[in-house]
Amino acid sequence: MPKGAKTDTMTSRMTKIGRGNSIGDNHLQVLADEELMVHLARGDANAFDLIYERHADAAFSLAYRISGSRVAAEEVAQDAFLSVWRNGSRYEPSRGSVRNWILGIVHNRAIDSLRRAVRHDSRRAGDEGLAERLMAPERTEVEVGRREQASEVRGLLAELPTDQRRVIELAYFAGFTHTQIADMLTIPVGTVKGRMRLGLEKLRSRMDMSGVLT
Amino acid sequence: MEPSDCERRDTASAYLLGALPEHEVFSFERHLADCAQCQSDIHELTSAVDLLGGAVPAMAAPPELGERIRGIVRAEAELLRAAGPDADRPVPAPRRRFRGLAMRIRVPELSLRPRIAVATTLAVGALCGLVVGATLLGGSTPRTRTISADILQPGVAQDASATLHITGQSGTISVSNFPSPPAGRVYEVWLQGSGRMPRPTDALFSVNSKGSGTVAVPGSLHGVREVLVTAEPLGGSLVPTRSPIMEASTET
Repeated sequence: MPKGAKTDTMTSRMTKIGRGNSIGDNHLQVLADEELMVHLARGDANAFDLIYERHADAAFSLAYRISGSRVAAEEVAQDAFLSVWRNGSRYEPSRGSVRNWILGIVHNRAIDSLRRAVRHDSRRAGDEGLAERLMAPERTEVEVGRREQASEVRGLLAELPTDQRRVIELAYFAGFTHTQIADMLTIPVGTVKGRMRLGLEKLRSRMDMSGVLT
Repeated sequence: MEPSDCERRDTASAYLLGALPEHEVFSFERHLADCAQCQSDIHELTSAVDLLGGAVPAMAAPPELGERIRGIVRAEAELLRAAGPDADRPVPAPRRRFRGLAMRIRVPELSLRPRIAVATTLAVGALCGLVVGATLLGGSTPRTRTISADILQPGVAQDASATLHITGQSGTISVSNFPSPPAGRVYEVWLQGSGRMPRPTDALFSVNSKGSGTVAVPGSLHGVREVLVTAEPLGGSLVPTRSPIMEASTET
């Protein structure tokens, strides 16, 4: 093989598997997520790179929060993003943002994984116990905005009455069913569901008032 | 039933939070189809639940995760290009009764792009099933040959296995009970033709906690005698630095 051929091959390979910064199609970078999804659905790997670049940290963070393990979080995030790649044509803008669609997939996968794993308690990771956490760098103004929104939602969640916040967190972040939560808290299933509804209604109302939803 | 009389309103919140057991999900979705009150609650509360997902403290996704995912996506995209324009024709999504609602439906992302699905990460059985299905439906899709690969390195679990699936000139490798690559390394696929040295490919992969993994072999297998896998430094290598862990002969 000629000497130069090796270099060219290596350059090509690194470009193909490199981070999003190496993308040649600059015009894609200015597109909104919803427009990128159109390209992605046609099999454009560069569009996928950008979608991944924009949402990988959020997806991994949620997967970690639910699964409590770095290995499990990576599996969940990989499954979710490959699902996004293979099923991009199923995304419907009328049903919400690309980010929420991806996080919904991550959530479903993570909860399924958690329920399969059984080792519920040993895999939990509280917000304060993530020794291996690496804070994601704030790269863009959009990302800074998302961080602020996330912080605000966390604040609103924290302001809920404890009994309502607890059932929401046990369900959404820990993957417990209403019957499991009822057993855990020794309260009727109806009470668990009632607290979920009251909590979500308050959260929705406060998000509305604070402008988080706009 | 009057909307305000619905006795299952509280269930809507549990449904949105993913807190319903599987057997109750189907029952509730049937109820939802006819209950304006629950539809309204779902519509109202979905945005709040959606924002919960993005509210966790931010962490950086590991760079190697991105490399792994992008490697698979690139390989599949290449396979799609090789398969031609029809390969990427999306199958229309099935109509849902609740299309107008921004509601959460579990298991929403089953594969709609069979050829991509064939390319990677499906279990062997599912993969073969899809290929057979495509053959029956499409008529012109080439048959798939399944070749058991040899596991070459001692110390690998006895039940470790690897399989090469060849459809036309395209190949896919599936492994199970396979060891993870050594720290700082990733599995790389090589193609051995008539020359002395195997050719490197862009196909880099790892395995999940169960030792399973699947990767599409990029490009055509025309003229390829053997498909090899070695553990190489992250990012891949141009020449093998280790002995193959797996070898599949296409002439079997």
